[in-house]
Amino acid sequence: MDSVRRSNIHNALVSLSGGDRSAFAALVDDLWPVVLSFAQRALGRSADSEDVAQEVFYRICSRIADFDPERDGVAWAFGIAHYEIMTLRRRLQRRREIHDQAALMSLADPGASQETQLLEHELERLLARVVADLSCQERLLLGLPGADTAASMTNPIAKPNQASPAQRKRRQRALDRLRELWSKIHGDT
Amino acid sequence: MVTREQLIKRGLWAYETGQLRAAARVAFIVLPMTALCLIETRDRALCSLIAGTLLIGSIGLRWLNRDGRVAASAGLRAGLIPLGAGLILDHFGTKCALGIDPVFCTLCASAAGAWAGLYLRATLAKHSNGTRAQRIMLLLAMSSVGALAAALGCVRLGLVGLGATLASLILVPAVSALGERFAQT
Repeated sequence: MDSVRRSNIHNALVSLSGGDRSAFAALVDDLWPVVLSFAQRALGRSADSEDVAQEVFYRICSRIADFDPERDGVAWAFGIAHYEIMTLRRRLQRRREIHDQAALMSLADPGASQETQLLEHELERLLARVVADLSCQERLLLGLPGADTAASMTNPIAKPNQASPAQRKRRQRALDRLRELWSKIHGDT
Repeated sequence: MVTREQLIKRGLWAYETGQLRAAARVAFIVLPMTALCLIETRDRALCSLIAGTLLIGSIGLRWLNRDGRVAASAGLRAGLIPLGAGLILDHFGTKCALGIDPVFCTLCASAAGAWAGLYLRATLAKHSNGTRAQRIMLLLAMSSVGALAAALGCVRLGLVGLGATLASLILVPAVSALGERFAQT
């Protein structure tokens, strides 16, 4: 920035702080390009930088009433511009962080949580331990895994609604034995 | 891309609102002064009217330009002296009137007004770099704000008390300025 422009900006700010509205056009002509270039350097040449520059310029205009004519006008204006740009940058960064979090949520696994999976796995392990103590016939009656396939071929189990009373009784006994074994190994829980 | 005209228009709007916001800060001084006046139950309506005029006038002057800011601040500071004096005299039940008996009240009111007038004169001397018209306008604005602020305290002293205060407040700086001008010539 050359000294003439610097002096023009200062004079316009002094006039405006004294209530001379006619100096406003001069302020726009001299200060606006500087603020725009400052915002572009701080934020890059994006579409946002002009919006930010406008916001900063209006903020400077609204605070002219507080300007002390003894101070350097350009330094005063740049103090405001620097603060505003930093605030806006922080705001943009926060907005970006919120967007990132939303993207992460969309990438999350829709299945059960790790804790639920672990509990299910533990339950299966405990059941397998109990089932191991059951006889092959009992496993077959309850439809549990590990039943002897040969036995199932020779003595097929009818479905519960088609089973004879003797088969239902055997199934009930097998179920009672499974409960008994579970209580014996893992307690009443 | 924003145009120059749009920038000027929106920038001016921001500037005016900023000026108004800064001018409105005078309420922090005027409102306590009004509260002092409203402590007493008599003449509250008149007191509110004067306070409202003082507030609007001060904000308007401070919004207008730097001279207006100087005038409003100096007027309010000067008006504090007769305001205090008026409230104290009223607290002791004194009422100013023409005659021998209440002469003390009238004298006190005049002295307070004269003191405020001298303060205004000193302020005017400090801001002597403007044109003659600007200085007259500054003196008029300062005296008006000072008179309104003084009236807040002296309104219950009666017409004589109020008149004595305001006359001293307005005449002292005017006569002093004229005297200095004659002395220079």
